[in-house]
Amino acid sequence: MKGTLRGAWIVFLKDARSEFRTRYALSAILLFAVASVALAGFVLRGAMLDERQAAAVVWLIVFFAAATGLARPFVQEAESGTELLLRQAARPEAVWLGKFAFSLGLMAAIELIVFPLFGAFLGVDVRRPGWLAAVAAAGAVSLSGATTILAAMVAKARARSSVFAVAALPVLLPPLVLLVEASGPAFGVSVGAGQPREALLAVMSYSGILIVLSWFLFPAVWEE
Amino acid sequence: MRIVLGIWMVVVVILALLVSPPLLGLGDAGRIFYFHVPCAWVSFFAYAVAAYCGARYLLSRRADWDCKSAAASQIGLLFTVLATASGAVWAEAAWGQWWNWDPRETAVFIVLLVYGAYFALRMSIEQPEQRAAISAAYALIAIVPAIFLIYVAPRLVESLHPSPVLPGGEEKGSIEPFIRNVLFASLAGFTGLFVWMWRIQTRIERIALGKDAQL
Repeated sequence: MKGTLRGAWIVFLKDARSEFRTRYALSAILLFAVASVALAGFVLRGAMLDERQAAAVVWLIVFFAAATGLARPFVQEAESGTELLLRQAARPEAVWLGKFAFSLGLMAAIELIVFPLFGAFLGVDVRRPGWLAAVAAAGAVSLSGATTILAAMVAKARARSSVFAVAALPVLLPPLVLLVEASGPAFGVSVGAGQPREALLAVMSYSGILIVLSWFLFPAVWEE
Repeated sequence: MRIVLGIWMVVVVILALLVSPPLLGLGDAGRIFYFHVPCAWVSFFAYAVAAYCGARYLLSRRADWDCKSAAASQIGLLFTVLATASGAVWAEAAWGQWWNWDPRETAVFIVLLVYGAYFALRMSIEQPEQRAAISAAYALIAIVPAIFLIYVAPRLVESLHPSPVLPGGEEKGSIEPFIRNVLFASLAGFTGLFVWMWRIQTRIERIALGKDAQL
């Protein structure tokens, strides 16, 4: 286990350094996020979004921003021809964990940009920032956990970027719907106290199952 | 098998359309219940079979399991389309609208997208062994949203859809014995239909793979 964690840390550092040099994924994701929030603000100018609509728009922006960049860690290996080298250098579990950690970092960056911008551009008040942070953390783990193995699959396909969005959206729709439900109290929805908590627990259970399954399936996908 | 299945299905159709009393306060339109429920059941059963065959492929690396998994997914997709269409007919008869964004209706539609994505991914990989391994892994991943959407999500959100009438449902034993027996006969018939179609589709997949001679 210690060897796996060390390997994962090395894979994470490699991806982070590579990203720091090129800034490809980060700049694409952040530009997309800023453009989407600005577009939503412009299209909805003057419209009074209720809390549920605000939660739905913000999570859709987060999802599509993620879809533009979360395939990058694996697609980059396939495009630069370093897949075989990485397969020789690290165990599959270490690769999965390292890539998952890198995707989690990208998701955190997306959320740190999208949520404040969304609040500022659309004039949406966050009533419970602590709750929103908890939901956003669950969302980041959920989206990056599910997309790590999907990105590894898509890296072997033709037309990778379009296939990634097609493959990821249906799998991520259940947590997205639940994240919208769970975000309600953060924007001021007055619903029964149990409902958003149940939605948050459901997101965490769904993500937990997908992450465990991905962990076991990843070697079969990666070594093929 | 074909003859027994054919006779069975004819009897089910006669019982459902001509003998069974109108049900659920929907008049004759409610008879679609005998076909809608089995279509939904078969689609989920097919996805479970696809996941099982996918797991067997990953353990054995025998191409035949990939053929079986792909065949089950294709038939599952077909029955999901039929369940969605028959559900829309039922919705129009019951609530006056073809589509209501009801959680269970929407859940089945998302399952359709999940397995549509399975084929988009499968068709985009050229190398057969890679395609088989990745399809098998995706079939196993896809069963998680399928279970969640069909069994968990409708229980978290209020639904117009009637509660499940099969064993384990909240209204167990609440439907007339005759109607329940016809429904079970229809479920058995549709399951047999699935097995028959699955075997044919598996042979087609084997031929497409050029593996028929080796198997």
